[in-house]
Amino acid sequence: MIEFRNIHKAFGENKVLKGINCTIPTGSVTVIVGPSGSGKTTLLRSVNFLERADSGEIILDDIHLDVEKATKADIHKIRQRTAMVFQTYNLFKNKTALENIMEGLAIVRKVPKAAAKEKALHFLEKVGLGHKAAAYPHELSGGQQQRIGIARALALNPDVILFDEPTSALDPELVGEVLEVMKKVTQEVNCTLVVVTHEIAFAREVADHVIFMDGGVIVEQGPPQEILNHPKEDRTKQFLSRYISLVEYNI
Amino acid sequence: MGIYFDLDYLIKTFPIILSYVHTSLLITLVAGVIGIVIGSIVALIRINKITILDKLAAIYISFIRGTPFLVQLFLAYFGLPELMQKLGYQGIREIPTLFYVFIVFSLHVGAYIAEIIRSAILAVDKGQLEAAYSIGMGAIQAYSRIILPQAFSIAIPTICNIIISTLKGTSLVFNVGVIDMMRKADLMGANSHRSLELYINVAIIYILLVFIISKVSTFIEKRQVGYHQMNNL
Ligand SMILES: Nc1ncnc2c1ncn2[C@@H]1O[C@H](COP(=O)(O)OP(=O)(O)OP(=O)(O)O)[C@@H](O)[C@H]1O
Ligand SMILES: [Mg+2]
Repeated sequence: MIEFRNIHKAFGENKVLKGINCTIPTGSVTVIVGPSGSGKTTLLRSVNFLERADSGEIILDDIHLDVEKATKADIHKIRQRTAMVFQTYNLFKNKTALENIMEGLAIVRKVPKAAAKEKALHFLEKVGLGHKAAAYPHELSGGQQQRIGIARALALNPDVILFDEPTSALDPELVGEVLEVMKKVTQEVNCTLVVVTHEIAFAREVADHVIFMDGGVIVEQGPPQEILNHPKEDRTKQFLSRYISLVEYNI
Repeated sequence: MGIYFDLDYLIKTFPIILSYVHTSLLITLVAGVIGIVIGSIVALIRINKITILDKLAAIYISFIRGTPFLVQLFLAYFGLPELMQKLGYQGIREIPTLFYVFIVFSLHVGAYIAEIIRSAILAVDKGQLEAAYSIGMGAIQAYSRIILPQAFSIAIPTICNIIISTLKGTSLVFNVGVIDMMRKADLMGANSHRSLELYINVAIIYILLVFIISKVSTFIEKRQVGYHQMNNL
């Protein structure tokens, strides 16, 4: 379970998060949607302290942190229990696909090398890239890199995986393969998944819970059919109508 | 012709001059290795803005960059022993000259490499550090395993340039009494009055060495790229 309590964050004068309160249940798939600049990325990154919120509390199961008082050790602890999939993949450029996945196991979790390798290969197979074990990131397509990014996160068996627009840097023809892998992950894995995405169809299909954010606040949240098909708030309607018509227009 | 230029003398003295090349190579090697270590540490101090150390590092770098090399060499060679003697240390005479030379060259190379590595680290994509943190690495692991290796790849050509100018800089050490190729040519020229031939020999040896270092540099760069290509399945 992740709980945000009254999270505030500003970049200088720009108030980006204005009191976020919500609970994300263990094992759920939660999708966060909202217009550009609404603070989705910032909220996601505040969980693993890549961005430190200015005030509020973040609760991850038994870890209960007041963000203002969180120490290095607290942050380290929370990072040990979470993993992240980045918009721009951020695979380690000096490591092969296999090494990218092994790194967290062998170096952070101190899993013996042989076991780490075996486990890494297993997850590489899972995302359909067993044959690319020795390839470096620059030799892989964006879609392949992102699938490895997902494998890197999965291999750590974290409590929570945070996805920040995992498909929005991809060429349109590569989006499908990554979404496929993500769907598989949502079915097979029982960790909590928090996904920021603009893929409304994907959200409709896999989400247990949808959060709509705008202007640094949560405007409404609930089950996908409710939020995506019958939104109550005007801002949500507006966003979705624009978004869905845009998608239909593209097709 | 022989009066103006003695080719036989040039050829005959080449091996003699060459037999002093090890001094220059040793200084370059020691300064290169220690300089890279100093440079990496100082670069990390500056990037992470570690309070007092950051200030000291900034002073160190601007001192090295702002003063002529020969001044630095004399400061260490003539200044340091005086200071140590005044502080009551008596064993000055036992310290070999090369020791001061190593110190100055290492500090000199360290300051330049610190700046090179600093900008190389800044050139590494910020996402790499975030990814390292996101999988639970601490700062030391993230830098030593992910950021610094990538920064070194970026910095290799520039570091090689520094190594080349360090090698050329070794031609100044005769000023503090180290007998290198320059000093040998100087001594022999005083007797034979054939300094032209002797210094041409020195120049040839430096050119050859610089050529070799450049080749090694491109080899390392190529190997990095080649390594990636070889593994492309
Ligand atoms: N490191 C930063 N420094 C300054 N401002 C920032 C920083 N990161 C984000 N912002 C600002 O915070 C606001 C919210 O950004 P955020 O990235 O969280 O939005 P988002 O909802 O993820 O948008 P998008 O859909 O475009 O990714 C934006 O106005 C952005 O310019
Ligand atoms: Mg974003």
